[in-house]
Amino acid sequence: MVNLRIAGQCLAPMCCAAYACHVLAPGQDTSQVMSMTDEQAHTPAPPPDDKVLGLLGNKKAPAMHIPGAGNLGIALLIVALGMLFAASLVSYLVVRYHMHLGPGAEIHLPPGLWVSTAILLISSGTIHWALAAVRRDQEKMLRLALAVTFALGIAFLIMQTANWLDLAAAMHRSLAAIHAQADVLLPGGAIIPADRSLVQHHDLLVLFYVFTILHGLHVLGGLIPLAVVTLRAFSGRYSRNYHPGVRYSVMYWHFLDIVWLLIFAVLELTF
Amino acid sequence: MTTTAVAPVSAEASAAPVKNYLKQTTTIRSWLLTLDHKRIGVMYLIISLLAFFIGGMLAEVIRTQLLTPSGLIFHGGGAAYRQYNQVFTLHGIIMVFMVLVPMTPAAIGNFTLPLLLGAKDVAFPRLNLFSFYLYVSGAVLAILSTVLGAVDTGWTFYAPYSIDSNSYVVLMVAGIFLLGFSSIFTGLNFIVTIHKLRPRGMTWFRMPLFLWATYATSIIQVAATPVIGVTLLLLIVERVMGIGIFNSALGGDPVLFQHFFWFYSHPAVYIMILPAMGIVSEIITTFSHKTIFGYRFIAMSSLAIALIGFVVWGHHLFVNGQSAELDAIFSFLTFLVAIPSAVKVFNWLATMYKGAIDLKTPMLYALSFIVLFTIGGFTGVVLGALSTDVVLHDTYFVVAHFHYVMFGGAIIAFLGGLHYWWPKMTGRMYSEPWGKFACGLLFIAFNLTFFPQLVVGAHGMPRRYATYLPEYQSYMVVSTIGAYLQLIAFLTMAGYLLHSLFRGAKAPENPWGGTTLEWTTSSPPPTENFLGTPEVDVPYDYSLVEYDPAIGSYIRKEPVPFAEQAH
Repeated sequence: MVNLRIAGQCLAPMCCAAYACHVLAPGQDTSQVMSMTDEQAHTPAPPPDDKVLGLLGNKKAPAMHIPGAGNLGIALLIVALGMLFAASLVSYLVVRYHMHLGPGAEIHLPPGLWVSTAILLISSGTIHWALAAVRRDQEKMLRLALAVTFALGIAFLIMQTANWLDLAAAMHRSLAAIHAQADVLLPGGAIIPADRSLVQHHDLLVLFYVFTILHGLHVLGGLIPLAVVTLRAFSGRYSRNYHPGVRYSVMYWHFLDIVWLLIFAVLELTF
Repeated sequence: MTTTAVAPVSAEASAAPVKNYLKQTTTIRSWLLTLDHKRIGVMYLIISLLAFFIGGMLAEVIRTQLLTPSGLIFHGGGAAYRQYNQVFTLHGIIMVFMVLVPMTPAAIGNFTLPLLLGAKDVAFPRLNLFSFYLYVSGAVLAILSTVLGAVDTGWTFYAPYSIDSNSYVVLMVAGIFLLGFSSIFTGLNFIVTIHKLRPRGMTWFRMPLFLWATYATSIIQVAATPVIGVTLLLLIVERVMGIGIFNSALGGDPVLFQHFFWFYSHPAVYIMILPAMGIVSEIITTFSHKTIFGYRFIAMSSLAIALIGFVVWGHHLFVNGQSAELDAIFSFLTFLVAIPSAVKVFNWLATMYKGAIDLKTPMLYALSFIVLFTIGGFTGVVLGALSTDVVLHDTYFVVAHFHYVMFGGAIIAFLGGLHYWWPKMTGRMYSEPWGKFACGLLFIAFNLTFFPQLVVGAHGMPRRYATYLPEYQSYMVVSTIGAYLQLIAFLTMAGYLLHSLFRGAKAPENPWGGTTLEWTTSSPPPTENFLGTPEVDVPYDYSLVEYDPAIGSYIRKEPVPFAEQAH
């Protein structure tokens, strides 16, 4: 209880706010630098975080170095986002449980989902490679691994977009089928057609979009800080003793990966 | 808490007196972009007090409407009753999401948490400011939805009302979504701060109890709030896309909404009450001038309430089609909450026993809290019992219970905390006689307002109706008179507090004889909070402070250097 050290290193999560925790601990860089050993002293002194990406650019930020604060912050963020995704999955399962999908209007998950899953899994490996590299002070490897991870993140989003477009046709078909036999219009624009199973197929599609887009937004939110971390790696900011940005990105990225595997498994099993 | 190692003020520092946080800089921009937790706390305080004023005036409208059985303001059916729905919905939303949730944790918490810790600031000052602006943005969206077409669903947004309603539900819900994320980030920030910024000597069991309460609150904020985020998101999707998630007409499950809503909203009442209990713990020990009784029990009972609070949500669904087995389990778990709550009450009473009780205004609020919260707690047990809840569900008994806990509990303790830390916050003393008068009036007015509601609720008067049977009128009139008296009490309070800002006596460092760290720095504190690095020993040792009539303040007796103290 007292040492609520969340074993979050292996899990990792989410939006721009993830980065906020990093950026929002001002002065971490400067004081870390002072504790560097001589061989690292040649690395250019990193500018204080607030000048690079301060949310509001207030230069009078109190200079504080709080060891471990960033890690704990990211871990708590992962807990919060974990609850968010857990609640989404539970709601999906309950709604799905109430559905009675009849035959007809068959919808299949786009096969491209397997591709995006593979991409995300590989990117989880490459970002771990980045962490291993920075721990061994292999700067070139770190840059490469971060750049590849970033590219894979973009590739994942592109692949997901293709998947969303893939299902758009099915979405149109189900909407058209519903409209073709619409007989009741509820306040608020909801429609109850004679064939309920059509509607439920449509609902299932919408939920697919909701949860995959929710995850995609979190990937996007992770790519922004990852881009900053990658750029900093290219300017030689990180070393074996100082690489908080890399660590936070790794935690968050693994979390996104696990969440996606869960979402994907649930969708594959229930769609 | 023994505080010994505050570095002596150096010669230059005393030559050029340190400016306090209010005077450090004076531009508007320096406030709006501040990273100082004290200023952020003051800004939260101002906005949540404004929200409290609006919510309170809406309550006065409700009470005025209920003066006569057919309604004094909204009568004649349809559209008028819908307006009444809007009024009580807005009252609920404003009071819950914009006042109770942020007021004590974010306003009082932000101001006091680093001071109690002896820290310069919270762990992530920028995230703190970001939370504040999320709060402001959420409030702006809520105001916008109110201007365009105020929601009339009740503050709980139950499906299918929230899906069929043609008011601006999506906008309001989006606003609450932002308010929720503000709350998550505040909680995250406070947990990290408490873990990482305790000064030397402050072990977990030497923390002031308000910090324990805030810690427990923050756990709830981080772990429960995301669930309402998803729920509200799905509600938006359902309204915008017209699909069936919560709407049974479209194959959805309205009870699912209730489960999700209460999975957050029940723990959320502990977000409101736990820091309030923390404030009361601080006030009781300070004004009894006696060390707190049962420190560890109070600390652990906060965590116990937070953790049990996660598994009691089903008691809101006793009559909503939940299975009998689940009902019984949730009823049992609900009773469990009474145990840590009672532990706190008994420890407060034992703290006062043989203490040198000083009935200053904050202490009067703390005593009011104990009385009102106990009534609220007992009526909660009545509602947690299955057989009585079936009868009392959706009656004024529930309304009165909730107000006894939330207003009599959370708001009264907040007011106690406001009066307790007002000298520290503003550097001014308010008028003690007027403070006592307002507190006494509020206590009487509160009971006049809500006790009759317990009675009519037990008689079966349903909540949320714009009209009622004539037999309840005498109770309703008493209740309304109470509400008007409360308004007078609050206006009095606003009067003397504002007066103190301009004419109040200068506040000394330690006007009440507190032993926690915030009383070792000037009133108001400098931007850096402390001139040295404070170190602490055992908390709540009142043998180490004594009153000095020459300066009207308590001072520490024979400061013994930390290093020389026996451990």
